[in-house]
Amino acid sequence: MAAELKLERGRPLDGFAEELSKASSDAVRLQTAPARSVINLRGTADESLVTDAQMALGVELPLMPNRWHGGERMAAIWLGPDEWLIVAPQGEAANVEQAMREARPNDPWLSLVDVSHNYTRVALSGPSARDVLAKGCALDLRPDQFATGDCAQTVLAKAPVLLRALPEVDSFELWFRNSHAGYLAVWLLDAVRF
Amino acid sequence: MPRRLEKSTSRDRTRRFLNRMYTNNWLKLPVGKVRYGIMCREDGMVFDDGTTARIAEHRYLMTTTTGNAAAVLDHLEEYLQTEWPELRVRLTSVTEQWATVGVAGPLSARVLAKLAPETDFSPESFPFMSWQDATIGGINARIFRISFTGELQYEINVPWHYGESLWDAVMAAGAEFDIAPYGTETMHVLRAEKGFIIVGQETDGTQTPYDLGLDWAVSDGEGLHRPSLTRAGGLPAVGPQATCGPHPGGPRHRHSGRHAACGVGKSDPPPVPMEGFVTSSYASPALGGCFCLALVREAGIVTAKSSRRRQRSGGSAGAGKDLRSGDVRQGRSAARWRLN
Repeated sequence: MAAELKLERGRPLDGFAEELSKASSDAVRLQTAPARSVINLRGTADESLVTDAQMALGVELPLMPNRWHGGERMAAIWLGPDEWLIVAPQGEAANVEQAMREARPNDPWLSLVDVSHNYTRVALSGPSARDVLAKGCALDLRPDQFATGDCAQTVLAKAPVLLRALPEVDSFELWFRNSHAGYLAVWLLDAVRF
Repeated sequence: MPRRLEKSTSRDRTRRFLNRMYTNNWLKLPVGKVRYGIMCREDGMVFDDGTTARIAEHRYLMTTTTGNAAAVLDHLEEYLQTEWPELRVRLTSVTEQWATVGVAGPLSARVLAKLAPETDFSPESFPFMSWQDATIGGINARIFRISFTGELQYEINVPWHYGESLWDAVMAAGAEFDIAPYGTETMHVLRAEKGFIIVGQETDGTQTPYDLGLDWAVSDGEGLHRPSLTRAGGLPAVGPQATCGPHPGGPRHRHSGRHAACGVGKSDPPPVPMEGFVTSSYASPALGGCFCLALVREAGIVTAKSSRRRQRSGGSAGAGKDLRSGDVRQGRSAARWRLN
C-alpha cells in the first residue's frame, strides 16, 4: 500500500470556486489566488539586510511600514519593524532560505520560516472592490489612502487578514488563515451583493 | 489541535530564552527530542503548558494550549522586546502551516509503519518524547512521539494543504486494525485518567505548578517564575490550595465546579467547610461511575522542599495517578476527601 501512497494537495476554497466565479461581475471580481511559496523573514532591519536581500532575492525589503515591494514573481511584504513575508514562485521556499543564508553567513539573528501553507489568498478587483471591503473593514481604503504598494494587517468581518493593494487599479489581495477560508468566502459571497 | 510557534535563531540564546519562560530546565535538550514545559507568569501562576521540540541546532517548535496560542505569542514577544532584546530570538506563528493527525493506541506504531515505511518505529529507534523527519506519500512530514492521551501515540505533521489527504491515508492504513476516529471528549477522558491537566480547565490563573502536583517540572533555574515562587513570605493564599487527582467510583456523573467537602459527613450541620472544587468530571464505563479531577485544600502529606511549598501545595494526592496502570508518578499519600 505504501508504495502507491501519494498525498494530494487540497485547497480550502475548492468547494467555493464556482460560486466565487458566479458571484463576480463587472463591478467586482473574486478569484482564488494560485499557490505560492511564502517565507517569514525576521532580522534586524538595517541597510545591509536590505542590500543582501536585494542581491539574494532580487527584491527590496520595505523599511516603510505597511508597504510591499516587488511584483508577480517575487515580493516582500512589511509585517513589522523586523518582520517581512517573502513571496516566491511555488516550490522555491528552500531556495529562498538558502540564498539568504548564503548572503548572510554571519547573521545569527536571521530567521527564515516556511509559511507557504499558512494562508489562503483571494484576489478582489473592480470598481466596487473597495466598497465590498468597507462592509467589513474599518480601514480608510480610499485610493488616496490605500493604493498600489500599500499593505495592512487588519480585520475583515472579524477575521484577521493581510490586505495588499496590487498594481492594477482597484485590485486587492486578501490573505487569511486556511481555517477562516470557508467563513470569509461565505462572507464575501454575501458582501458582493449590493 | 495544538497551536504552534516556530522559533528560529542563533547560538545558545533560544534555549536560554526557553529556560526563562518555562519553569523547567531547557539547557540540555538535544536536536530530535521533545520536552514538556510549564509556563508561568511573573507572579508564579501557571499560564500555559505544552511540548517544545528541538528541530535543528538553533530552531525549536513550541506547542501551546489550543486557545492560548495568540496570548502565548504576545507573552513571548513582549519579553523579547522589553526585557531581553539582546537574545534576539525570533518567533513565527506556524499554527496553520502544519496539519496534525494524532494516531493513538497500542497498535499505532503498526499503522505508522505502513504510512512511513522508511522510518524505524521500534522504541529503541523512536523513543517517547522524540521526533523524526519522514516521508509520507511523497510529502515531507514530521512525526512526533508524544502523547496527550497517555496511550502509545504519534502525531504526524504535514504541510496544511495535505492534511485532509493524510487523514484519508491514516484511516486506510488503519482499516485492518479497526482504526476509529476519536473526538475531543474521548481525548479529555483519556488525559484525565492519566492526570494530565488542561490549562484553563484545571487552572484559572491562581495555581502554581506546585498546586498542580507539577513539582517535577520546576527547576532551580532562571525562570520567570522563580522570584515569586521562592521569595520569603511567599504568596498570599488565594482560594483553595490545590491538589489534583482522579477520584474513581461514585455516581456516573458529577458537575465540574461542584464543591468538594473534606472530613465531614452529610449530616454535619452547616456551615460545611469548602475544601475545594471539581475541575473536570467524566463518566467512565471502565470504572462503572464517574471520576474527577479536583482542586482540594491540604489534601494529604507532603514532602516539601520549602515552607512555601508546604503552605501552598498542601498535597498532591493522586496527582498523575494513572487509573489504567496504577502507576503513581507523583507518589503522595491518598487524600481523604469526598464529594458532597
